[in-house]
Amino acid sequence: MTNLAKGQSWGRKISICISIVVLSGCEAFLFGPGNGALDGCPTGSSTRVRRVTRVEFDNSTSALLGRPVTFGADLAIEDRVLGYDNHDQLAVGQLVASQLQTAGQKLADAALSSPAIATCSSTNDLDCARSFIDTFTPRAFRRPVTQAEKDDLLALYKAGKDGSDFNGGINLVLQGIFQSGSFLYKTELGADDGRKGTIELTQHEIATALSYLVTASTPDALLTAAADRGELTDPDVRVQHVTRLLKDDRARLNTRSFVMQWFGLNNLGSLQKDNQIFPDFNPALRSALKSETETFIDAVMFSGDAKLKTLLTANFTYADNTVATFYGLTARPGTSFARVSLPNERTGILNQAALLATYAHNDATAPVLRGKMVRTQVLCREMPPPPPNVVNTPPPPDGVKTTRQRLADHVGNGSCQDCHRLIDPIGLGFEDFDGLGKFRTIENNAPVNASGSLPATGDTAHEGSFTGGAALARLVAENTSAASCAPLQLFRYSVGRVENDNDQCALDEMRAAFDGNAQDFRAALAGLVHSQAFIRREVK
Amino acid sequence: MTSLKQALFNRRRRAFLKTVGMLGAGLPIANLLQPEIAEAASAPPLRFISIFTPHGMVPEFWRPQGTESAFDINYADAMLAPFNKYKDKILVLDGLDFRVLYEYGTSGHEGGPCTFLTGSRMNKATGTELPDSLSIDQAIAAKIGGTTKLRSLELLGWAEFAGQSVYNTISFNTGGTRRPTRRNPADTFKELFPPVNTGDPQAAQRDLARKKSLLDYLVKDVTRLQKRLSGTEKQKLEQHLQALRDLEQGLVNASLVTCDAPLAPAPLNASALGNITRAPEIIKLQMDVIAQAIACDLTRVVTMPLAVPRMPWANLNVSLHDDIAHQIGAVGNPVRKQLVTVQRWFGEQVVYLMDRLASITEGSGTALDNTMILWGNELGNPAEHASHGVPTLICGGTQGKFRMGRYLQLRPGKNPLQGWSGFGQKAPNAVAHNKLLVSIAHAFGVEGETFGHPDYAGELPGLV
Repeated sequence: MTNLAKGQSWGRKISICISIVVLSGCEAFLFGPGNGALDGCPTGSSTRVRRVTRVEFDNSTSALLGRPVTFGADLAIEDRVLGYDNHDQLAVGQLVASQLQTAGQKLADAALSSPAIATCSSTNDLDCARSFIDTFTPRAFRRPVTQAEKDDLLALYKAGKDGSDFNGGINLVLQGIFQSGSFLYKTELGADDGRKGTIELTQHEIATALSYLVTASTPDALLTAAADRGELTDPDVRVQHVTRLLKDDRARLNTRSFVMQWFGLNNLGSLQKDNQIFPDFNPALRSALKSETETFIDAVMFSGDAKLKTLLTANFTYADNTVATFYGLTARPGTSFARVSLPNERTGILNQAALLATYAHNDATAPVLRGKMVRTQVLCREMPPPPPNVVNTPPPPDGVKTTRQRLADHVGNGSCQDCHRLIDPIGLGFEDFDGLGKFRTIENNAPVNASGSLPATGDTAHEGSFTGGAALARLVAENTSAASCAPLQLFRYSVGRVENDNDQCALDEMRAAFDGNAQDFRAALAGLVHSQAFIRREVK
Repeated sequence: MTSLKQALFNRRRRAFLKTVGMLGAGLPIANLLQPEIAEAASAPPLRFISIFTPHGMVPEFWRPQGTESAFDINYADAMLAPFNKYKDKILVLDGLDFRVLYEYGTSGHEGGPCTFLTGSRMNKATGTELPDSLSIDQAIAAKIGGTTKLRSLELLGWAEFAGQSVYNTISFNTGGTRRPTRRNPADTFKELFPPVNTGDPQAAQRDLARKKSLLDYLVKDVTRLQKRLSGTEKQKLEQHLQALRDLEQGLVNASLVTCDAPLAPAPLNASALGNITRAPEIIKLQMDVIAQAIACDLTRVVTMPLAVPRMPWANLNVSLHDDIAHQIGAVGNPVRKQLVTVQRWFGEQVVYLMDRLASITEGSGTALDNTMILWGNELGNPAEHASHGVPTLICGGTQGKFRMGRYLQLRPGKNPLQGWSGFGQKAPNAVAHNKLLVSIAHAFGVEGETFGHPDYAGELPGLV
């Protein structure tokens, strides 16, 4: 990773701030150093193809079939890069290729079950097949289709029809389309004209990039029409479409997916705790805590103000009776989730039990894990590697000492100190929440000491001593590293790879939009698509 | 009893004649007359299986007692005791290091699964922890896997961290991307033994022709896209094309081998797969699937990482990582005997697989004679928290490629850290596991003086 992770400023400084106001509906994003000049903004992306994720596969096939289908869920689980599952290393190997055969069959059967997406009342079934191929394929491939491609699909139709009927032929065509590279890979290649150097994406590639960025699905009719008209070179038009799509319900799920992956909350469903130590823990509580965090993220990021500060320091959450009881609240919202106020000791996503329980052992808190999460994922500060010859053996819980006492070895020991002084003091500040995320004032009959320190963040005005997880969240929310990190995380999720030096221009524009709009994630996203880098690639 | 050789030949011949009769001019028959197939029918193939388990060992209970050829693994609390009945079919490798990890700065054990079969350093430049190059199973599969239904089979014994962990992958493609694994043995069984079409032969022929047309189309489409790419992007689609070609070849290969499908296991849902108390049963099913795939020659290359968070069935209802590996302490600490329980249980699973393979008759011997199992780990002594002296076993007959029934002390001297000044520094006296990978590669006819990182050339002496 490069120094971009630290949010340091880069060579290009723009002293004259040109503000561009993009209006769409009732919303306006202010852009700071917007760069309209085509040659002003380099891109860190080479020409590439990105395989759709399982979610994108399902969203896209559902859009194409006009009904919800979930056969992509049976494909092999994605591995994660930088914590995210939608990176550009996703590929189709032997296993996925074989799973796609099954998914393709099921999709084709579903598409031809009533109401079928293709029927033929003509006596000339080939005309019907041609007509279906002509209309369906460009939608599936997200671009105009060549005659050679159509001919190949018609040949497939004939092979499928042999010994069968029209449906048999279309069935094979659909299997072909849903397993094809043209469907599975979103291209970022530009026109097929052999040009080298910096190239621009085609209009339909831009439409695809915008659509998957916001909705994790295939472009809708409006976006496709804009591409057909060649409008998407205009940065303001791109922002208009993003603003529009951000209101789509699929944007809610996609934004939630970003935040859940950013904070490493993907495995909540299989979280396990020791029942002897955490008698409150059971599958119903686990599921309620997951719903709390998901509902909260949706409420802040989709229906709410989408601001980093709200995400980190909201004095409310969403609870049902299970969560409210667990948190010790007086409110009883019932069996569905409703907004409830939080006491002063708990605030924002960092204090939610789902996160606190994830970053904990099955029988105790884990200050090291909690501290490392804040440092690397929320502040984007990198850790030096452990020194050689470490005996990495924290003592077990003995029922007598507090966690703080047990970990004293880490900070006390010379060789361990290099790393642990950067993370343990952060994590120890969370000690007012136990390993399941329940607020506590006593641990093993001793009063909890939740004093912590946020060290070496690059923002001396917003670091140093604090007491308790809520105070930490408030400190982090003011810290400039967090403000610089959040757009970077959104960038990584959006472009599906690690950042490099040539991404600085796009990141500048994201951060300027983010900061200029009170740290609104939607503005950061608008800043990204507004950037010229968004539509440019380097041919390697 | 008819020898497997003869049986295989008969089966293939029967199936071949059937297929030819069925297909008429539909399939290019020349493709069916490949020399590998004739060769395969004349001698049982050598297979490669690798099982990976975590958490390391403690030397006082892992090391055999005695000499190279006269050693004891059945002393009190010996970790390798489960292998006592197979002493003549194991090769205990003591003193093998993942040098490439610690010499290139990786401390701890999370690089273990990445380097175990690749011999590569762990590359963090792309934002994740991946090797630079392919794993040995893939190199072997490229060489010997082409005539089977699956060129290689990647399983996941148990998903310790809900499917998202470096511990869940030991098999990597060219370029170092992860190969996804199969988690559900009931589903894998269905993939290996699909329902046989016993109806109308003409319908079966049309079905086959349709599948072939579809694959032809997919190859054409992906090729068109691939031609526009270069570098790693081109490689990415080359992998896709290889998968499609393998599926195509698999259609032909599968029609050549008719093997009586064993009894299918009951379906397993996500909740069963996440239920730790069912882990022993599910892991046995994984081993059954491996043995059945080998018996029917559906694949010749299998990898499976196998990690469990706890072992409640062995009275270890604590975190194996936090409460045992990280609490290992010094000699005499009772926790060390808990690690014996852990590694014995893992060893018993490998022995179960050996039992299954030994029950398959092939020629005058068994499938176990014609298999090389590499059982590895990511860590040496957990107290050191590094990959020195990683416990490694070769099991099976290996068709005599290696001289089995021995205990090899690869590195004389007691201190594995002697002469080593820390992570990122060279340890010139240590034995790199890359040498073992080179030897294994050669046993399977894969050429080259290095495997993985170019620093470590040559075979591991004393194996053959």
